[in-house]
Amino acid sequence: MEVSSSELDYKSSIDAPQSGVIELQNIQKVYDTGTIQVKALRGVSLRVERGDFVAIMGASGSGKSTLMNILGCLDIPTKGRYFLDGVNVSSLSQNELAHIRNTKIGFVFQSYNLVPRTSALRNVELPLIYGSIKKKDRHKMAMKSLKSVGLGKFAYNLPSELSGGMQQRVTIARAIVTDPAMILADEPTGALDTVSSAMIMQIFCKLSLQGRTIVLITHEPEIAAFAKRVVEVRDGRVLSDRRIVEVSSPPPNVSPDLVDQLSGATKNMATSP
Amino acid sequence: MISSIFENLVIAMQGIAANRLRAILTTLGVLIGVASVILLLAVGNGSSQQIQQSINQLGTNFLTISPGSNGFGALAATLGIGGRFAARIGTQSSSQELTMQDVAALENKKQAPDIKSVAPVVNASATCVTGDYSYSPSTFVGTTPAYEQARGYSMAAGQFVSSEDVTTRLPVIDIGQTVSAELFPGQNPIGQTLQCGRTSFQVIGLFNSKGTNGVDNLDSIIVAPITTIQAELSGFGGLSSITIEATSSSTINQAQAEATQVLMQAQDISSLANVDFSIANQASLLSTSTSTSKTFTALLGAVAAISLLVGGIGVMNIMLVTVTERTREIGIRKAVGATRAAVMIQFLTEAIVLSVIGGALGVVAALIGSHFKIDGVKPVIESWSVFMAFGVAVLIGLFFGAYPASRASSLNPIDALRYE
Repeated sequence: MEVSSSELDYKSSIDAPQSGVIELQNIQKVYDTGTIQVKALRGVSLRVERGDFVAIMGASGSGKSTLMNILGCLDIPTKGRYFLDGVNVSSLSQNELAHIRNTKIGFVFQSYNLVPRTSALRNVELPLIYGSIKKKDRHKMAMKSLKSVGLGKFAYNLPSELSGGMQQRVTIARAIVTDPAMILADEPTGALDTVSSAMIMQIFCKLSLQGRTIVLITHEPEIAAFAKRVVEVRDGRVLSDRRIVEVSSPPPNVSPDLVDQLSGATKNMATSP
Repeated sequence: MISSIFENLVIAMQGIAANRLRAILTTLGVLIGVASVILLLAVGNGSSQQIQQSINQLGTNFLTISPGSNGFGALAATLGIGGRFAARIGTQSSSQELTMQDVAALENKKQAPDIKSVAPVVNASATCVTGDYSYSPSTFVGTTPAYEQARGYSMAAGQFVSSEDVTTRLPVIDIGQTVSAELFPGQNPIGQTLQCGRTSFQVIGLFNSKGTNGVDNLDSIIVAPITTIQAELSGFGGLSSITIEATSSSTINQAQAEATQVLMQAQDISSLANVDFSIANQASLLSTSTSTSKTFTALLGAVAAISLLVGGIGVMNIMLVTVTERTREIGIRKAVGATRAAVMIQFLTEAIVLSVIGGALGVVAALIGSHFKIDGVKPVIESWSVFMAFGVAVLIGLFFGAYPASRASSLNPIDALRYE
C-alpha cells in the first residue's frame, strides 16, 4: 500500500523537479525539547542533479548531521519540502520512509555499520531481503556488487575477519546493490588510515564515473576535494555552494591507476590485515 | 517487510547463534519448566494409578470389619497397614470386641446370602529369627483359609494354611517375598523353620509378589493359623478384624448391609447410632484416594507451572538485553529499509525460537525422565500434558518476547545508529 501511494505521488506531483535527483525547498528542522526550541536547520534549499558528486561540509553544530538525516529519510523536516527522485518524501509515514530508504538511498556510514557475525555477502543482501527480492536474484546481485568493490573472494568472511577498509567497501557494496537514486556517505573515511581512505575515495570516484549521484558529508577538506561540488553549511543555513567541475565531467583528483589496481590491492590487504 | 517465513527463521537463528551460551541458558529455563510440568503431572498421575491399582490388588470384592466406631481402624486394616498399628487403634477405641461368634453369625448363609466367605484376622507382631538373619514383618496375621482368596493372595510355592492347620493349631506359616528375601536369601524357604517370638514355625508356603499399595509393602507379610497365633503370640482376646468376601463385586453393598444387620443382632445393638464396629469397602476407599491424588496432582502442576513462568521471564530478560546490545544492528537494519513490523517480527521470532527449542527439549527430557521411578512412583505421562506444556512454552515466548520486540521496533534509526 505504501509503495503504490509513493508511486502515485511520483506521477501526479506537479511540483516534481524535472531533472534534479534531490530537491530541497526551504527545509527547516526544529527540535522541541519541551522547554526550548532548537532550530537545527533554518531554511535550506538545495538541488542536486543526477550524476553529481556533492560534498556537504560543516563543523559540528552546523546542522550538517540534521541535514544528512533528512536527506537520508531517517528524519522528516518540520517545514519545507523534499523531493527525492521525484517523490515528495517530506510528509511520508515511518513505513513509507523505510521503503524509500530501501529503494532509493544507499548508506555508507563512518563506522562501517555492518551487522556483526554475519557474512559480507549477507550484509550486502540485507537491503534486498527487506526489499523482498527472491533469494536467487539476491545472491547474484550481492555477488556482483561485492565484485565491483573488489571483494568477490571475501563474500563469506565475517566483518570481524576483514580490515577497516575492506569493511567500508562491503558497506559501499551494500549501498549500491539496490541501484539507488543517491548514495549518501557520512564521513566514510573518518575511521580509516590514509591508504585505506585514498582507496575508498577512489571507489567513490569510480562510482561517480559510472554516473551515480553521490552526497558526501565530511568535515575534512581533503576528502571534499574529490567532489565535483562543495556545499558549506553553518548555523543551519547554506553558507557557500561552489562548483568545482561540471556534473558531466569526471571528478577531480580521480586516479585511474588506483581504480585499475583495485583488485591487486585487495590481495595485498588480505595478506596483511 | 520480509515476506518469507524461512528468511525470518534464518535471521532469528543467526541472532541466537551470535550468543550461544546465553541462548543455551535461556533455553534451559524453558526446558526445565516444560519438563517439570510434564513430569510432575506424570508423577501425580502415576501415583494415583498406583494407589487405585493397589486397592484393586487387595481383592476386588471384600469388606473389612473392625471393632470400634472409629472408621480409621477399618481403613487401616483394609489397606493392610502394619498389624501393630491396626491392632492398637482397634483395641483402644473399642468397648465391644469382635469374636468368633460374630464370625459364625456372618457365615450363616440364611442371614447373609451375599457373603461368600468370612476370615477372622488376629494381628500380631514379632521379630523372626533364623540363623544369622532377623526380620520384623510389617504384617503378621493369624487367620483362616478364607483369607487367601478374599485378600487376593496366590501361592508361588507350597500351600496356604489349611482348615486342619487351624483346628490342630499347627505352628506353620506362609511368607511373602520380602520376608523370604530377608530371612532366606538365595534359598528355598519351603520346609525351613523360623523362630518368631518364643515359637518355632515351619514355612509351608510362599506368596507371589503383590508389590506395594502405596502405603505398605504387601510382600512383608507372615500368615499363620489364627488358633496358633492366639495361643502363642496374641492371646485369646477379641479379633483384630474380620475380612468378608462378597459373592461378587456387584453384591458388595448388599453384603455390607447384611453384615451390619448380622453383627447388630449378634452384639445386641438396636440402633445404627450405637454401632460399635465399622465396615470399610472398596468403593469408599477408591473415591477418597482419587480425590486425594487429584489434589496432589494439581499441587504438583502448580509448582511446575511457576517454574515454567520463571523460564518465560528468563526469555524476556534475555531478549531485553539482546535488544539493548543490538541497538546498532537494529539501526542498520532500519537504515537499509527494515520496517517496524520487520524488526518486530525478527525479535519475536527469536524469542519464539528460543522457547520452542526449550519446549521441545523439555518434552524430550520429560519423556526420558518418565522412564525412571521418582520416589517409588513410575510416572505416567498423559499426552494432553505434553501438548499443553509445549503450547504454553510457545505462548510464553510470544508473550514475553512481545515487549522486547516492540521496544526494538520502536527505536529511532538515528539514535540506534549513534548508539555506542
